[in-house]
Amino acid sequence: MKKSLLIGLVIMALGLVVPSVTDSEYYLHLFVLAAMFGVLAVYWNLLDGYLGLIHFGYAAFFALGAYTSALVTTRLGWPLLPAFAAGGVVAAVIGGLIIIPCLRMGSYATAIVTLAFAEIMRITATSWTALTKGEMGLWGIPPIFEGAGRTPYVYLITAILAAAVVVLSLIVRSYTGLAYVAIKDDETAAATTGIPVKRIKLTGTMVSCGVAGVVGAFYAHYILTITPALFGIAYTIQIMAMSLFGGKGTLLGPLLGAAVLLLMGEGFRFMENYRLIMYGLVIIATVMLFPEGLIGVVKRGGRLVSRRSGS
Amino acid sequence: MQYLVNGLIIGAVYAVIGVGFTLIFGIMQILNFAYGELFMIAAYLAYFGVTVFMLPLWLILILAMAVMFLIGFGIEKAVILPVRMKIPDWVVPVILVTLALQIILQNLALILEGGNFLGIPAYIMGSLRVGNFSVSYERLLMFGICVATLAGIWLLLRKTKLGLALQAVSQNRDAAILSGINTNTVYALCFGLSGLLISIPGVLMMPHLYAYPTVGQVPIMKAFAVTLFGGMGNVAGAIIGGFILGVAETLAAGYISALVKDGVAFAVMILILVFYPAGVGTLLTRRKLG
Amino acid sequence: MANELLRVEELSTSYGDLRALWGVSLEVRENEIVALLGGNGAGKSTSLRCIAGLHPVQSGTVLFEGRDLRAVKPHRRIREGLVLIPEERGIFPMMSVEENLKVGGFTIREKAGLETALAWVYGLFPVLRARRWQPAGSLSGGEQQMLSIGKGLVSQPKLLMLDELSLGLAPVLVLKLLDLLKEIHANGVTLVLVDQNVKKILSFCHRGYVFENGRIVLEGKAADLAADPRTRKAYLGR
Ligand SMILES: Nc1ncnc2c1ncn2[C@@H]1O[C@H](COP(=O)(O)OP(=O)(O)O)[C@@H](O)[C@H]1O
Ligand SMILES: [Mg+2]
Repeated sequence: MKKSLLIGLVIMALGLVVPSVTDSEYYLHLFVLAAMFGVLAVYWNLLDGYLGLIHFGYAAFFALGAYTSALVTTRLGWPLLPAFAAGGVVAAVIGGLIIIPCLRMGSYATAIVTLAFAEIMRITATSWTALTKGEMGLWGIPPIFEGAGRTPYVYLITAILAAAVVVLSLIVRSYTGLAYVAIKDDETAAATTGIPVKRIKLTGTMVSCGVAGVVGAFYAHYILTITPALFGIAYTIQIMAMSLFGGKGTLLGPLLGAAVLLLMGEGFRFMENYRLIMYGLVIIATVMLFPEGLIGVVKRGGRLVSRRSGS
Repeated sequence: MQYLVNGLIIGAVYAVIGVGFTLIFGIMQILNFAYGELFMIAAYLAYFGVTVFMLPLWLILILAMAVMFLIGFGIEKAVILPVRMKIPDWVVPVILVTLALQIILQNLALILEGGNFLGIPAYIMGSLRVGNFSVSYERLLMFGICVATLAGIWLLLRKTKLGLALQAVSQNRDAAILSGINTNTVYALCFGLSGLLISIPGVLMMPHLYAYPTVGQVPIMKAFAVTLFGGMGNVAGAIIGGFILGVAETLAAGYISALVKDGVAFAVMILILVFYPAGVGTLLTRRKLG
Repeated sequence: MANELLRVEELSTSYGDLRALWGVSLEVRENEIVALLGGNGAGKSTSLRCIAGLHPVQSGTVLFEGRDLRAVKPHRRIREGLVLIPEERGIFPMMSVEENLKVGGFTIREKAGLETALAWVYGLFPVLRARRWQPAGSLSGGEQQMLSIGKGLVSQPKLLMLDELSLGLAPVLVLKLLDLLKEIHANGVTLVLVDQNVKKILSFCHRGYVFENGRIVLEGKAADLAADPRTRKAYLGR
């Protein structure tokens, strides 16, 4: 409980400090993206790392939240707060509906069903031009903060990130969290001890997709134009890579992975086209050197330090 | 009728794509995300074979198969083997490595060839007309080669010692080692074989597509769909799944609209999955490989 | 005294951070039947897996016919005449019985050699011949155990190590299997057996080792072990 709040406070503090350290629009933008992908990676990992559901369509729920919120504000003139909520609820409900048939299948079948649904949604978003304007995408989405620069966005996304992490760490430490650990350990055994495995997976997925929807809504009202490409596998793969790279099945690993991979991608920008090749090579090198992900390195380093200071 | 014929032809191609993908899953339990990029390399090979070296199709095909076999084999030996040796629980790390490979190969292509869409004319002109429907010779040839490839892989799995080894490793890895099978060789051969298989559609589809860095996204989606449909790692299922996907797509495109083509195919797959989660392959055969 | 076939010295290993073996030493001479005894989790299977190369050895040596097995890759050990039939039935459930046996003879190059070996195994287990085209997964438990033994025999090993011979089998079947093992032993195959059924197994073996918590706590002639109260104690744990 205390630890969760501490993590939340540290994140908040970071968000408060960053704008005073730099006023470069570019760095603030990077921070916003890192925090955003951080939330997504952390909640994708809730599915893969804790519930054993490999979700390959995760970005589609991010996109669904973005589209929902953009549509209700531009078409129906909803205010932002209910629009964000709508984004989250729609993503949660559809995310839950889609996972229901998957609960009877193996984890790889889940991977592909979710991928397929994401593709269907992308195609729908592309072809239902009356609603979505198709490939052209939606624009003219109202911004959250009118003409105020990036700083307030930094504060807002940091608050969302801190809340998301605190909530997840509370869940993981609660009774439900115990059930997660049991499911992760041995699903059949968990089921035989009376843990409602399916219900827990369903609610977990709804939470995870709902969070993606809210972040998507934030994104829509931050970037202000969205296209069906958001539904695509490319974004999901990015989120997956961040999560696995940072450390599967840990709370902070994916967050770390998101920050490092995003900053690394930008840091290599001077290499121009070679940037992403470098990025791929670093992932491979990390996998070979630190199979448990980045968080494993940090933990090992921490143990080393404490051992040294202890002696 | 015309749609059905076209569907079966494209279905044979999808079947080959699916088999190459499902083979790796069946034997190693991993999803190879760089699979589409192998298709992309084959497409570039075909492009340069035609435009720069002006080789005949049969030679391009054979060269591409050989090169792609070596590339697949090499990828396993160079990047996957070290990960497997280092990490006992290697499935997730290896998947992450294939994701990284996808990024690397796409950007390598971008650097070397730029983001241009490179196309080639049809390999063969003319078409066969019977009554009021027609099939181009090129498509007929494509169909023939793909069916022959499927027959070849079937024979390989069922009738050769290598096939026996592949099946053994896929069903019980420890028991395969205890029987004297070198699993490292089997894994590398399996990647090589997968590369060889994807090179065939990569070359043959070139006149209908373009070569560009992210062209691999198209076949990998098909590979996913077909593989899931047939049951993960189930070769016979992937073959059936390929044909059904081909026909479903063509019918959807023909009777509804080209835009919904991909969506309808996926919708059909999902419906079937809900009823046969293990994949239709299990209805046909309990054995996975061949 | 017969030649030494297998010698294990100070073998240690672990699963992750959990130590499973603490310096296990044992030897098997040609034509012996040796029993490995001990309660669940005592380290018998882990020892066998280390010898066969399925689990890495952290320290200690394993010598087979005087040769250090570190120099022999796991899949090569069968060629040296060392075969393990693992606890989880080392068969391929979706292959036919005959294909399973063929994989067992994977290292045999000539067709004629394979045919002879198959014929020998079918002679020992006629039921396998009757079921040769059936998928291995559809056999009964006893038949599956016969298949995994038969599969191990195709390569005509010098040393056959059997983990949990009678697990899940009816007592009558176990007696039948022991009879068959006697015949296999008469054919010149040295045997290492792991089994929970102490009495039966000790009456069948020449010597035995008793494991406890990853160490060998007792060793000796089968008759002595059977009489020793400490054998029983090690089995029940404390
Ligand atoms: N796959 C495994 N992962 C982790 N620990 C294991 C594994 N297999 C065995 N162990 C542990 O190693 C020890 C020895 O087990 P094992 O060799 O299977 O004993 P036995 O065969 O005598 O019953 C036990 O403490 C067991 O819990
Ligand atoms: Mg055991």
